[in-house]
Amino acid sequence: MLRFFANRVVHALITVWAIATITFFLAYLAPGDPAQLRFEHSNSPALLASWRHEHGLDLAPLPRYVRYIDGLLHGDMGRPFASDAAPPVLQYLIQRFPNTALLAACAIVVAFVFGVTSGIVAALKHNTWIDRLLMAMVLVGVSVPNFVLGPIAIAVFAMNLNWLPVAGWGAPEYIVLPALVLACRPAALIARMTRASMLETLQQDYIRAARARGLPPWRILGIHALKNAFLPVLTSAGVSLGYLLAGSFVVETVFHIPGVGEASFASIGQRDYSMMQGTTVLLATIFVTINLVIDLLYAAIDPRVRFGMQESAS
Amino acid sequence: MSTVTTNINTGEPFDGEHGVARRLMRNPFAAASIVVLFAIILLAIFAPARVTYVHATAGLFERPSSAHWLGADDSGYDILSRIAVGARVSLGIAVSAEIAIVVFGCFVGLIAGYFGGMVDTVLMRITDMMFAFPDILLAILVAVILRGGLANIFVALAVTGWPGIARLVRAQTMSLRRREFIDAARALGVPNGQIILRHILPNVQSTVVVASTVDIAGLVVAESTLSFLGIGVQPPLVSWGSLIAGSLQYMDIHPELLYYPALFLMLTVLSINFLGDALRDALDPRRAT
Repeated sequence: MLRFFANRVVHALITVWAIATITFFLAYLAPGDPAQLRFEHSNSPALLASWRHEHGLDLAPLPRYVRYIDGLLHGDMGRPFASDAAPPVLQYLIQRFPNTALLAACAIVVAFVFGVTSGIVAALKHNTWIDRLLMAMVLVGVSVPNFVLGPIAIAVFAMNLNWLPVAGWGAPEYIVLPALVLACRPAALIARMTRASMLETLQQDYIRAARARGLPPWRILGIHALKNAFLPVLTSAGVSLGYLLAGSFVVETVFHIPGVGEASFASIGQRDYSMMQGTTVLLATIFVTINLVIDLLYAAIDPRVRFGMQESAS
Repeated sequence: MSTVTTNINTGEPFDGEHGVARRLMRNPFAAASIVVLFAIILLAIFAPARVTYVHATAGLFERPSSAHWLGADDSGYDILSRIAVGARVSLGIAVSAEIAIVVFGCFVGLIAGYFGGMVDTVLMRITDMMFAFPDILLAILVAVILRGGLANIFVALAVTGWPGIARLVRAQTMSLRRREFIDAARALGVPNGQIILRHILPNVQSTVVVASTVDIAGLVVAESTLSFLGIGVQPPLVSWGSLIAGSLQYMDIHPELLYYPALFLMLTVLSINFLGDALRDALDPRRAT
């Protein structure tokens, strides 16, 4: 058990390191001199040189890489390229992170409720029109990208019906539309997973045994079936969280939510590689951590996983 | 080719392309999807040749007419022409990126799955790493650094997209490798390269077809997301994503600028997904639920 845990943790650490490295070299290879991008109208070499020095851009690739990794280990992602007055990248992102987290949390709760319910209903009504309708809806949910759904939701619910604010942040009503938009895809994925998992579980011998013993249907469903059908759903929720974090990029931009994704989007326009590097590493680290936690939970609940059966299961 | 293609799950000979096509067309969603996709592909191929999209040809926000079927946009461009150009860009990038992904993913998956050992470990560590990374984030980063543009989006999508296919092909290759007909081929002294190409590849083909069909939908979305964020295709070229982005500022008075490209994008992605699902059922009838 301990070996499995250690193994997974080391894997996750290596992954984060690799992501940080890839991000670093992508930014390093990026065409254009960040100093000249920053001071477009200045041609004072002294200013450019001192600015480069301040950000460590005058170093050779290897020392620059070492400095970058060393900074990351100390929780330092450098300063944003776009502005000298702004707080360091990591502090800035951490300050914004609660908004992203709140949005993602609301979305995953909505996705879970809708997804699991419709998955169970579809499984119970297997091969009826209800099942087909739900699965068609799932396909629609998977197919419609956030940046289409977001503006359409704004046009319909905020502009036409006037039920909710168009965009913004700070009061509870602002979170409804973005959370629903963000929840759409994970809800569809969870519904599909729940349905498949329930269908498989309902065919097991112990379910038939429970039926034969005359247990009430709600007990068979709620206790015997759901508990066992739930594990794969948990894993798909982990994958969904990745989508949520990446989706926050678009949704935060569309709804003007001051989160990590929006900060990253703003930095694209300014070609602020420092900030982009920071967001990418931060979001990827969170994603890896969540998946690690789910992996470990999974192993704690299901002993088969610990003994290397996850390869064949996946 | 003298090899008999068998269904790897049942070991029965495949009933060939006709069986698949017949089963596919029996599914009304699949049939409708094929029609829709065909129409959009025709639009992508033929419409831009007739219409000019660089020069404004109509009045601003002109109403739909026989000359401009969907009316004109904020700069007096014919909306349908813009959408047709968008279709060409979005589908063109998605399909070409998918071809690159399939070629590379199959290569990695076949090698890793067939040879196993160190090669497998190294290749799979790399794919795992790529998997641990929400690919749209990496695609965004690559696209920003390469500064958008057609070729660069293609690179961004291809570079981030291959691990899925690689992993799938590897898993299938590993299970095929232990089958008797592969042992037999090896015992006869058939070289590894030939075993892979003649005996394994035909058997992973149907899985790859299904996976890559669904993948194309994801790539259309990814491309339009990049273009929506302004890091995809650059003006004067347009894609559905950049059309949607451009429509947002007129949303309150001219929401149709948003609805038209959104409709085409959704129809395309939805049709590809329906088709992918139906293909999966048609290629493996036992799995149909």
